[in-house]
Amino acid sequence: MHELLIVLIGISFFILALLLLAFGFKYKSKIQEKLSRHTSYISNKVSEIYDAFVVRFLHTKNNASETEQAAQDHKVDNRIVGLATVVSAAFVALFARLWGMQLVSQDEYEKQAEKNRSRTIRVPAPRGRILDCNGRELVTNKPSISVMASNAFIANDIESSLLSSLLGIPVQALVRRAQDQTQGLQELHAIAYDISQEHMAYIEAHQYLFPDISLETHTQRYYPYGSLAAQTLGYVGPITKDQLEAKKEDKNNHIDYQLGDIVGQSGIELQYEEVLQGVAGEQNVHIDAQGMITKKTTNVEPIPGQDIVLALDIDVQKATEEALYNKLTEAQKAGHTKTKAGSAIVIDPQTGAVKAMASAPSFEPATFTNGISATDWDYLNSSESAYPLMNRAVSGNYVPASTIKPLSALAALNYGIATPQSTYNCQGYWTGFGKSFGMWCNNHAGHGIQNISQGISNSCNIVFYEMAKGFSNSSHKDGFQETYRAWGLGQKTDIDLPTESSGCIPDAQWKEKHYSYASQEDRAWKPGDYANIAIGQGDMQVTPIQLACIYAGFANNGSMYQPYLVKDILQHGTSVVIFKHTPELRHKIDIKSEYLKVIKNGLYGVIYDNASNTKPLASIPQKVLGKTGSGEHASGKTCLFCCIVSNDKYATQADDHSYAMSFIVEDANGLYPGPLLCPVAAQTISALYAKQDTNSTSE
Amino acid sequence: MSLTHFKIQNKHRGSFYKRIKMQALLPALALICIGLISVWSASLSIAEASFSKQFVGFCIALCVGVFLFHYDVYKCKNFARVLLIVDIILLLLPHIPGIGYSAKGLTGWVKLGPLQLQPSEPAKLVTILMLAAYAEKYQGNVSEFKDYIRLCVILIIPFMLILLQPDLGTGLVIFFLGAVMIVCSGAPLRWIFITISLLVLLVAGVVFCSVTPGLPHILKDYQITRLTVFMNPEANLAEGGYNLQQAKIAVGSGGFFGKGIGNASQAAQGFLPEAHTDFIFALFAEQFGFVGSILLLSLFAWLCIATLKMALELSSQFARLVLVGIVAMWVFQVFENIGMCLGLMPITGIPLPFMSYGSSSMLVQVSCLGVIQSLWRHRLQKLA
Repeated sequence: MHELLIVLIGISFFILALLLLAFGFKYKSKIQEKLSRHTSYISNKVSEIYDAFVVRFLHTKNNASETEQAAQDHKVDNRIVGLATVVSAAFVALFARLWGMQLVSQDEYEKQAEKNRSRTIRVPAPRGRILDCNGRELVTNKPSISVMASNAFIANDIESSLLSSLLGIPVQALVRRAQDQTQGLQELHAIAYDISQEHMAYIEAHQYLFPDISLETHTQRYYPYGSLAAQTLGYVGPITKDQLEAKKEDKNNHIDYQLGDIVGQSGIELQYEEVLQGVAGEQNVHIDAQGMITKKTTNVEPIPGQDIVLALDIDVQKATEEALYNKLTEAQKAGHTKTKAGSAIVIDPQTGAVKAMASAPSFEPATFTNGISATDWDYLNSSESAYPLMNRAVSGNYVPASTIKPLSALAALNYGIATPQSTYNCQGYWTGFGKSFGMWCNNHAGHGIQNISQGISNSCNIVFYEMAKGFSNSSHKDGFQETYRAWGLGQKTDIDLPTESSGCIPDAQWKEKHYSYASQEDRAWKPGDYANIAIGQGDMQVTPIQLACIYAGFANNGSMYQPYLVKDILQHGTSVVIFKHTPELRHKIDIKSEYLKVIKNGLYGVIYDNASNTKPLASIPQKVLGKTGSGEHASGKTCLFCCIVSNDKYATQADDHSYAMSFIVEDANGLYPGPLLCPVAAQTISALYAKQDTNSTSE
Repeated sequence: MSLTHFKIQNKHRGSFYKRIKMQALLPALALICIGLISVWSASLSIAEASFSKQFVGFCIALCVGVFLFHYDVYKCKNFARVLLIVDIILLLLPHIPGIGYSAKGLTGWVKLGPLQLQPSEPAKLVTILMLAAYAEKYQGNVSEFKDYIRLCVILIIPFMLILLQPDLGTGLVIFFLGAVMIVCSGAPLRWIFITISLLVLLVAGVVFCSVTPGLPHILKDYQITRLTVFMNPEANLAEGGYNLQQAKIAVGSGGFFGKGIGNASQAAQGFLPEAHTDFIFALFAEQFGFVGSILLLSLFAWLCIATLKMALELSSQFARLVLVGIVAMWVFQVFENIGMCLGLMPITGIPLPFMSYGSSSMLVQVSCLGVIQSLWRHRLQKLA
């Protein structure tokens, strides 16, 4: 309307101008007469006033002769021609400059103009999925809608309070996120993530209320099973500056990471980051001076990351975790409030495949997908929450306690310190290293005469103290440690997970170094140290995965396979196998079968001779060979249980139905490993075999 | 044969063609058309550039121009003092509280109801007429030094008033056209050279004072930076260097044929600031390329040379001085404005005649055309 009015005024003026032009000639003389009368009147008046007040500083000179006049005209002509020359020169200069800019340097300026308006936007590649051994999705991607705000949002109080009440996020939080520079220097900042469909519809329908807000759809990590196997799978988060620098310096890294990229931060997500990441695509766009996209031009499609198939069976994992967590909750309810943490591992001895790997307490990896809050992060890294981010199955160091006894017995047998026929007399108190070094057996009344199998079954310390004495007196003083190391203790198992611990096998050298602050006498290796490592106490430390591997070795007659989690790598979204894991024999230990029989007899006795202790296991159809242990710490007691399960009593040769497992609970003061962990093992076994039954029936 | 025939035809066409000097009008009309097209293309993407406003401005200017064409401008030489007073009033208007108002650091606008005027624009034309009226009396020979000084003083008055606003750009336009007019009014060359030498020394002294620590800084550092930024725009992106760089990119990327009307990515996407006013040449050059720019330059050159040629044909010293003054104004504005877009000249806010968005400038430029045609139309009356 306003525009129209202006145009109308313009047109009327135009017509007026034409009328003036046309009729000007006709009425010119009249108008001019009037005008000149008025103007000369004004002029005369002004001159009078002017003369009265101001000194006359101009007088006319009209005394030039005719010839002089001509000369002057000529002079002025020359100067006008001179001016014309100057004018021409100015235009020639402009012409030359235009020539240079538009014809000679055109390409360069075009490039600059292109650079001005072109931007490349990174299109993140969908991250590879993580599947269990039966192809069920453990970690996948789902579309998520983020609210993006431009800088104007910060100053718009009405808009931010509206959005705040719509989404239920405090205004301050929204504004803080809009100002956050760590998201990079892009024009739009994400201020709310993963909003619901209803909220999206509302914002889209009321765009006039939210002028500085746009919605962006992207994919984010989704965990269908929630916290299940959280430590093993790991979590993702934006790459940090340090990580970015490390990646840039790493010559083996072929992925071009940029700030803001989502990368694996722990577990499988971190270990297989390069497999899962994929290759980001590029979208070239045209932008305006405000940085708003005006047009999309060419693009390069992202290449999605590859899918990973784990050896993990989610049903077994679920059963194990539930059993472990239930037991821990039970213990807490019974007053053992510090009993919060533990772990469980199930390994297939024939291949090293990890069928289940649990660590308690657990966490929700989904809290990390949109950036974790400082409060949450601090809580997850506090003793209050018992450090749920730590994968205790591979990173936890524990004293192995009695669970190491079968290996100690094997060492004694191998080095000839004992024979399968050896017997020992347990009186409850042992003074083999002198009266002043007297040590108690766990049964203060004494076990009486014990052979090696009985020693294992009853967990009789005296049997192993005698073996320790035997080693200290023999020429193979480090026989225990050599055997432990041969079975993979004191070193990483090299399972495909980050942050694995190697544990610790103490010997004279280690003690010297470790206790360098102590006196020479105190840090010397003493006979008592042999006794300590024989029963897995003192400074000896193992990880749950190492224990599980040793029992897998027992089940497999001394052949220990490299434990692994990733079975296959598949092309994204398909079943095309790119990489297939082949079981790798890691330690091949020669054991006489009679020695192994002694050990297995002992382990059999643990379950079936003291059935009250290991109740749920003694009654299941499968045969279980196991060993409990109670680690002693200054800080608390650790309960351990390791076992082999198979369909055959002696498990002479591992078959498709055998599994090795280890269970550990920390800070279990006042609790006993048998009643605490055997029910967990029983539930795990039932899940494992229920699986196989259905499998065999379906096949 | 056909040419002579045409000329004869033309001569017998009637009084209208005799009264109008087509050579000095056609290029200007072409320039106005190009200017309106440019403003229209700028209005596609720049909200402040309203084509209809510009069009109304042009229509009003046309009325004033036609009026001046009918008016016998030769009469002006009789009331030089009135012109001087009008000039002073015009330049003081923006300082009057209530009607004057400031924008972009300049107290250079007057607001009358819905109308906004920049009085320094009409003041240019008034100054030209005034100087011509004063200098006409010497008939091309200023022989006394006293007279020369008087002309200089008359020129200095509007110049100083404009510097008060402070609008150095328009001040320089007036100074330049005044100087050219004084030269053409027949002052001896040696006086002119002495004056120029003194001015150069004065400017050098001011600049030296301002850049030497300890001495009073007459010009502030940012003012010096703004004047010298065109030599190295990349280093001073804040002090207008960004604008200049974007203008150069716009002109350079236009290439031979340009990007076509409405396809100016630099201006349309907002990279080029002030694309419809001070940098309209960059907008034009980006859309129409080398071909268009040369056409534009040729039209300006044609207009200037034709006007100067007309000055040689006219015998009245008053008419000659007015024409010389108008040409000097055009040349200075065109060279400064286009030179600024090309990185040849410092950045100032001088509009490009007939092209830049703004009614005040349009009004004055069309009035100049009216004055020129009036001088031509009434030449015979003077002889008679």
